[in-house]
Amino acid sequence: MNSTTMNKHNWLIFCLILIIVGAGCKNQQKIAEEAANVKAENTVQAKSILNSILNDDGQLTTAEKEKKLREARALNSDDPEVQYLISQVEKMLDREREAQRVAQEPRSPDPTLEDTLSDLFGKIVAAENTTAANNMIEEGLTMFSSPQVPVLIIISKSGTMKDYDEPTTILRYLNYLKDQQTSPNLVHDLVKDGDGKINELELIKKSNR
Amino acid sequence: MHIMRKYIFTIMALCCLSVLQGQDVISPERKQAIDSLALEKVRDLSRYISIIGNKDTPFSEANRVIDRAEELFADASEIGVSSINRSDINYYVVKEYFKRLMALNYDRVTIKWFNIQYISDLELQPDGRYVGVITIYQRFEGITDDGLRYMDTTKKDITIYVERKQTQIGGRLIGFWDVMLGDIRVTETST
Amino acid sequence: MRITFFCVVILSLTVPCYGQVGEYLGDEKAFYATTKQVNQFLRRFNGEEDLLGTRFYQQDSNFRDPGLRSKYIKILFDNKQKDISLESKKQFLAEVIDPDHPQYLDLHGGSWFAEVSAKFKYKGREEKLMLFLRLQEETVGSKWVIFKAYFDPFKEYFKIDTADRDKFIHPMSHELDFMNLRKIFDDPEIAAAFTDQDFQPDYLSLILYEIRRANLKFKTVSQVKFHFFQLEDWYIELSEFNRPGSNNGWLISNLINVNVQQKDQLRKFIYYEGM
Repeated sequence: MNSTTMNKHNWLIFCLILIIVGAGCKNQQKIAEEAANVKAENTVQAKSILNSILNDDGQLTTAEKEKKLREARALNSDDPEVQYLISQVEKMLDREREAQRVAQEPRSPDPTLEDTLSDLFGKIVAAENTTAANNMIEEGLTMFSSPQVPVLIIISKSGTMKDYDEPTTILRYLNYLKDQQTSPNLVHDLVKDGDGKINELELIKKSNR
Repeated sequence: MHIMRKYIFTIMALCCLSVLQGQDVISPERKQAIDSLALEKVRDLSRYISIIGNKDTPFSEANRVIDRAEELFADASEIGVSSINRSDINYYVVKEYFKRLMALNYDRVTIKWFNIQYISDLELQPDGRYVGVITIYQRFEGITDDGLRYMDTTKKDITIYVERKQTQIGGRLIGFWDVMLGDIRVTETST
Repeated sequence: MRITFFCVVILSLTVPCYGQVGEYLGDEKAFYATTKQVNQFLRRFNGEEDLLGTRFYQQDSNFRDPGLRSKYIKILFDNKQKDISLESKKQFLAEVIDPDHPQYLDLHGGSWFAEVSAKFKYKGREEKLMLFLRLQEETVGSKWVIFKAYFDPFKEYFKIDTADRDKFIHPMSHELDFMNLRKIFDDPEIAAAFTDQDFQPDYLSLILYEIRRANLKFKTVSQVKFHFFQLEDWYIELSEFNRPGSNNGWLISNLINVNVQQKDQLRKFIYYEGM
């Protein structure tokens, strides 16, 4: 203990020899305010970009809209209005993509089943209580070959390369939705068995659609 | 002698090459996706803690959720806690932390997030896994039976381990990112 | 005792906060300014992230922008440390952002280390033990390694009374097969007096030995500091501050203009060598 005090003392002497006493600086507050300002500016900019997508009269292609959405997301605004606008744009893009996919890809997943599944996810998340959610999970599992059906979640996609989260099972995934009360993924693809039941499910992070 | 030096040089050059190969750099886009995934796991953990700490959660559900919460962590992860008045770290094994939380029997537990997080770079460690740290600020609020509110604001520095793995699914080889939480340092803040 | 602490800390320290629900969230200003990680200290110092903490990459236009660096470096000082003069700060800033010779800090750049103040149980008492760690590059990745240590209770074992001129092994001892060593080691308290003038006790070996023999038991970490010797002519000490306001987190708690020789002296000083 004595040595610590001694050390501190010596330290001060050392510093005094080598340096001159002076004043400190007070820029932290400025940085904090600037960060807050940047946030505010980002929010305004994000709103403007998102509104331009929603109010588009056919000038923008889906790809351009997607690009703008990415720009708006990159501004990292958590403003509730921005979040709402993002969800509206996402819905708009989902509709457009769906229409394009139906037109272009005859082997696309069964839209009815996909809708039912998305609906199930939403219902579990919004369930009033655990019992209600458990009942929905039990009912939902009947759409699958087994509770152990694998669920893959794409976290990012670049060209044909897909990055996944750790694979899970449908039982665990539905319980996850119940626990987390939020549904961060969309149905991307599904494979059915001979009985028309799902035996493989691929989801994608909403932020990557 | 010359031949020997040549061999040594070749061996050294090979070593350097393997060093370079080992230090794979994750592209910014991939890093962003991994960051989001890691942050999602942290949010999942907060939600699990709320469920565990809630008195209305049935015992069996709480135990199931503890298992799920534990699965988010790498083996032997610990939570190190210090307060403003005491900078020394107190250590809790993750499971012990959850069990204690359950035993405290709050009427309601809410964990509110300050809208800020800081995500470090991912660093390669000798076992080939990447490690990073996510810093978040949270306000814990527990309400007891008799209506008393307990709160604290903490800075949480959360270790994140990231590993590239592969698994067979439906005959296909699926490459995925295994993101695990590690030790968590909890510091009470004075803000 | 541990349970009580758990309740107090995890659940809160609460009484002063009672009844403030909903009044706190949303004001993150101070947290933005806070240098939240050493990683952030390095990125800010180098101008490698934006105000919200998003990382810049080499291809980004603001990457290592001198203007941004200048703004950041000014906030990276502990404002309460009055020993760092305004002049020093100015000179330091000018040198590290000098367009002809900019200097950056690098996690893997060597010449920096951590000083960890830990508590160990030794002979039934809690004692402070200093550990020095550096980042060691491996074939794959890197890792922190302990390279030095200091433990005050061991210091007394190496005390040498320089005033005592009688304590030596006389120069003809070799002719007697050093039979006089018996007398030297008979009195353990003076044994250190017979070592050479450059002798430095290796605390780390002793500590590892005592840990292995279960005489030393780790309790906790109390404080961590970092010492940077990477920059030309400058030494930086980095400490963490947890206090109200925005001058918070990992900040420069000491800045000294030093030449190469002084850097060596300073290193020894930090390692408690020659004390």
